Amino acid sequence: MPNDLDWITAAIKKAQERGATAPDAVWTQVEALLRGRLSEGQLSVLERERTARLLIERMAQAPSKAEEPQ
Amino acid sequence: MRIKAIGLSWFRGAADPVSLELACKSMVVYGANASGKSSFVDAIEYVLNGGRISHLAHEYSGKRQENAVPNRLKPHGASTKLSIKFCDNSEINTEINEDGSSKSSGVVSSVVGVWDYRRTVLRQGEVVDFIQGTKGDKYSALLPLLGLHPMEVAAENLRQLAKNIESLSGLQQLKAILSQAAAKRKGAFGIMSDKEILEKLEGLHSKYCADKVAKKDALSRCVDLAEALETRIAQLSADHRRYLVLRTAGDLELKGNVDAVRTSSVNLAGAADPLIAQKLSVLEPTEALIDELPAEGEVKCPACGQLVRVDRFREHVKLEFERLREIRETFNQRKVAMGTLCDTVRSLKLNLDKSELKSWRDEIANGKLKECLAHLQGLNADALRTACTEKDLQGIQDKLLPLIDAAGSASVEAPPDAKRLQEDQRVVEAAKSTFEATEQAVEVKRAEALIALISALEQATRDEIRLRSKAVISEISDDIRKMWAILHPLEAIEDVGLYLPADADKAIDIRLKFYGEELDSPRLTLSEGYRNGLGLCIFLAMAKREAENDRPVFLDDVVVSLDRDHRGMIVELLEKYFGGRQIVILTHDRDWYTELRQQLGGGDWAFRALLPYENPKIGIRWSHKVTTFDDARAQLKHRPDAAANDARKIMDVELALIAERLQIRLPYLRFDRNDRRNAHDFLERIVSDGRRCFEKRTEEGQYAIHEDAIEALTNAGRLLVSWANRGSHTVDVALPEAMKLIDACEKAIESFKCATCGRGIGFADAGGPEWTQCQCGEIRWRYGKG
Ligand SMILES: [Zn+2]
Ligand SMILES: [Zn+2]
Repeated sequence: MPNDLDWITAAIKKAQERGATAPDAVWTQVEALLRGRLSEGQLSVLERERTARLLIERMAQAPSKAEEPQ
Repeated sequence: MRIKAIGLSWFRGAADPVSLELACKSMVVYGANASGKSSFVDAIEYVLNGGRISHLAHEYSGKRQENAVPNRLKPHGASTKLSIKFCDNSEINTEINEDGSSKSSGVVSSVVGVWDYRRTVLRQGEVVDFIQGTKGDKYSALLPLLGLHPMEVAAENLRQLAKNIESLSGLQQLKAILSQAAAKRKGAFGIMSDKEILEKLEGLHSKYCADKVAKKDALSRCVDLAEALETRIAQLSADHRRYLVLRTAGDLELKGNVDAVRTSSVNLAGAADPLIAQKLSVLEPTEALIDELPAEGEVKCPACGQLVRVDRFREHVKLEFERLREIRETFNQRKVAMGTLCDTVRSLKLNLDKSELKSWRDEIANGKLKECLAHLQGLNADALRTACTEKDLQGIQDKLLPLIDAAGSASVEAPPDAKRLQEDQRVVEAAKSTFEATEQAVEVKRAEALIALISALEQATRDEIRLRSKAVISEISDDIRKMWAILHPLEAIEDVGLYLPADADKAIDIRLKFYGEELDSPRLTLSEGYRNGLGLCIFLAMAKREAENDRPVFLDDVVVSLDRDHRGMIVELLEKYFGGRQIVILTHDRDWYTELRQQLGGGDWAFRALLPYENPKIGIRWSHKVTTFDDARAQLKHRPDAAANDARKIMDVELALIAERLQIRLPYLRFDRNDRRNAHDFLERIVSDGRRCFEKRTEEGQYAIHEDAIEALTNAGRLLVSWANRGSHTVDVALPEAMKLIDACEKAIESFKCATCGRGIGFADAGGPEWTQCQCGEIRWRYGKG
């Protein structure tokens, strides 16, 4: 294998290198999703909407520094 | 986990219970075409692939293949069953119902979904299918091997999730609202900064709401102010109020709104017309082209007619998407413009309907504006939000603008303090939408960040997939290269392997160099024999990765189109890379079977031959012999001549191989020219050498010439000669003679097999390099004494 990291850790690291920013709570949530349901099989429409809402809420609950008005 | 036995009853070609007794060993199974040998492999596929057998997938098989899986002559009351016994004594038992449904018990969960069919079974057709398949097919075939399935799933889920977030966060609508608010702000405040707007608001607050405690946030101030202004306006005289309503109506920007819709419609049409024309010109010929489109190479571009590489063609498609993005933006602009127009028309209607304007309405109802007013009343303003034709626009322009003009001129006389109130009211309204918009802007930013995050994760996952597949692919390629080299020593093809094309996701392709030149499409340029050899190497390289799991490998008739030289190398390849694994080779090639039996007979391999198939009622049956003389016997009853000829052909091959192994000095031609030699030539030589070289251990432990063997060989030789020289016989005479010949031939061949250890002569070298013997040493042959 090209590196010792598991792929989720590796992908998150790569996404950050690509400039993705989000509050810590959102990263945590996304990682949990990747380790669970997101990797297990195709999500149903309902599951997808539920997951999308969950992330939107997380994002609203924990504003990141990046989005506060400068 | 190795397989001990595969049992079938009334499954595929099987009738009464028949079992492939592997006894956890490797085995070569010979069966003439249609002898039912593939039924055992079908059983493996049936179990591994959840009750499906891919080569049976045609319309007559039925939805659950119920017309093809059970033996169609299954008697009433019998049932279709299969069982797989493993070497740890666990087993899987499956019973298949009439409707094709099935029930399994046993260690199903440790095999189904764990063993990968494609790394367990290789059949002739599948070799070709893999090579001929698209890059995408190859990718899906290799995907389970790469262990990247969860990553693929995650990447796809992320892609769709990003779309869901976009629609659920209402991103497009929010953006539309923002641009409306920005327009409003510009109209009311020009280029004033937030701070200046706040200051202005503060001024108004102290003017109108001096009695109220100043709330800190801008939005509540706006609300306070709006209320205060509303109250003041309500306190004005009816006359003044009439002025204000007229003024509101008169100031509506209807003309501008109509123009905006018109402009965006024109833009949209401008974007759409060439786009639609181009799309059609691409899509129509593409539909016909798709079937012929090779995975690589060049295609004639339907858009410009030029020959372009397939990868460039993909870029064309990308450009299409760019255009689509542009058109979407124009489309959104138009929607916003239509929404604004709708709001304006509604506001006009609302204001002109107000009770304050009753007298004004009465006045104009007698004049030329009567028609305009009727048009306004009859207009469904909300419909404009979704559909707005040029005719609608023209109507609005012709009938509603005069109303606005009239309202405007009728309000010129409005008293200044009323005007002031109204202007302040507008400022407050614009401020309110400005401050609301900052909240929405935050929401937009948040949604965009989230979408960017999910998309970045998707890309990162795909990068990771690529990185990891590359590593596995290169390991597999190394094995393919090594195996290819064994199969094709000193041949022009070098550097064969798999690779990930740079221009496509979810794709794997084959690359090879032929006479030092890179070949783009091996599936088009390779001969059938090479293709099969390559397919076999790829499969074996994949199967090799199961090594630590010690899973069996089934090769079902995979060497059909390999010539004898290459076929001969397969054993070397299997011994080198699969020495410790259980391999089951099924073949209908009798010569190859004989070759394998003689090549591998000294090792741990077992050999079984099936009887020729008679009918489904009798089903699959084993021969009691490892030789193939039962093929000849099967013909005795109806065609004794053919039976005897078949026996002679079997002898040709058996003896040629024995002679080679015993190093009998006879100008020996390679296999493919072997037809010129016949059994008689070999026998004569083997017998004459055998009188000096073929020995058997006596009871006293001494060695003496193996007289029984010499006699059996001589007898077979004599009968072969007399059969060849016979006159024409009736069936009555031919049948017993042919039967005698077959038995004699079989006995002659079996004399090279030891009765004690069961192994053939010629595998173990004992007593120095001059001897070759069976495993226990009871029979032996001395080289080079002839
Ligand atoms: Zn083109
Ligand atoms: Zn022996």
